[in-house]
Amino acid sequence: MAKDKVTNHIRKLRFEHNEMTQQELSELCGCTRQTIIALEQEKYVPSLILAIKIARVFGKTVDDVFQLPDNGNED
Amino acid sequence: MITQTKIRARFGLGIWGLVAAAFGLVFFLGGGAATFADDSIRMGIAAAILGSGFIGYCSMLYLTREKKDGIALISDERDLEIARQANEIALVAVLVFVYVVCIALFLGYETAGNLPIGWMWFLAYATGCFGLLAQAVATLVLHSEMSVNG
Repeated sequence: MAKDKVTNHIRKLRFEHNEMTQQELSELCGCTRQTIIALEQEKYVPSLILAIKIARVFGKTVDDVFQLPDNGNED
Repeated sequence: MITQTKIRARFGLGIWGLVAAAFGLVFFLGGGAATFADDSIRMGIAAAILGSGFIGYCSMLYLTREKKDGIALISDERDLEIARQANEIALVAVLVFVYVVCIALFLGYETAGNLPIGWMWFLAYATGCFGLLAQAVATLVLHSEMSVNG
């Protein structure tokens, strides 16, 4: 089974929130800065818990931050 | 900041790379498998090398542990995922290594009908080194795949 590709708006949302740094976001979410980098480059799919934490930081729903394209399971 | 998993993988690669090289020299120089089991000096040196490797590795794990008063996080779910995948890769690598060594020994000594018991020491020591090296390499490769500068 092909890996699902998940896209996100984390980078855009960071800049919309007073140009929040990756380090600040990582501290608010309880993860490392490397994970935020990997998420922004869409090289890592977060757990549901981390996705909810990130969405809460931006005051959005998980769906607003992360998207699973319709053809996401067709690689 | 480098994460705990990556630091440990780098040190692990260095420690077990040195141990593997030193053990290889001790094992293959001075007679190889044919004389290894009867040579108490080489056996002792090999055991000391492996022992030093384990002590060094355990010390490194202790020194790089997550401290309670640590300000920044040094590992998270992504590191755990990388460690999980690296362990799976290392397990498969070890299985392949043991298979290849066993088949090579079989083919090498098939006509002789028996093989020097020193090869059992080689298999025992080399499997440990190879497994830990494979785990370290897999961790570093997965880290680079999951992040450009992570």
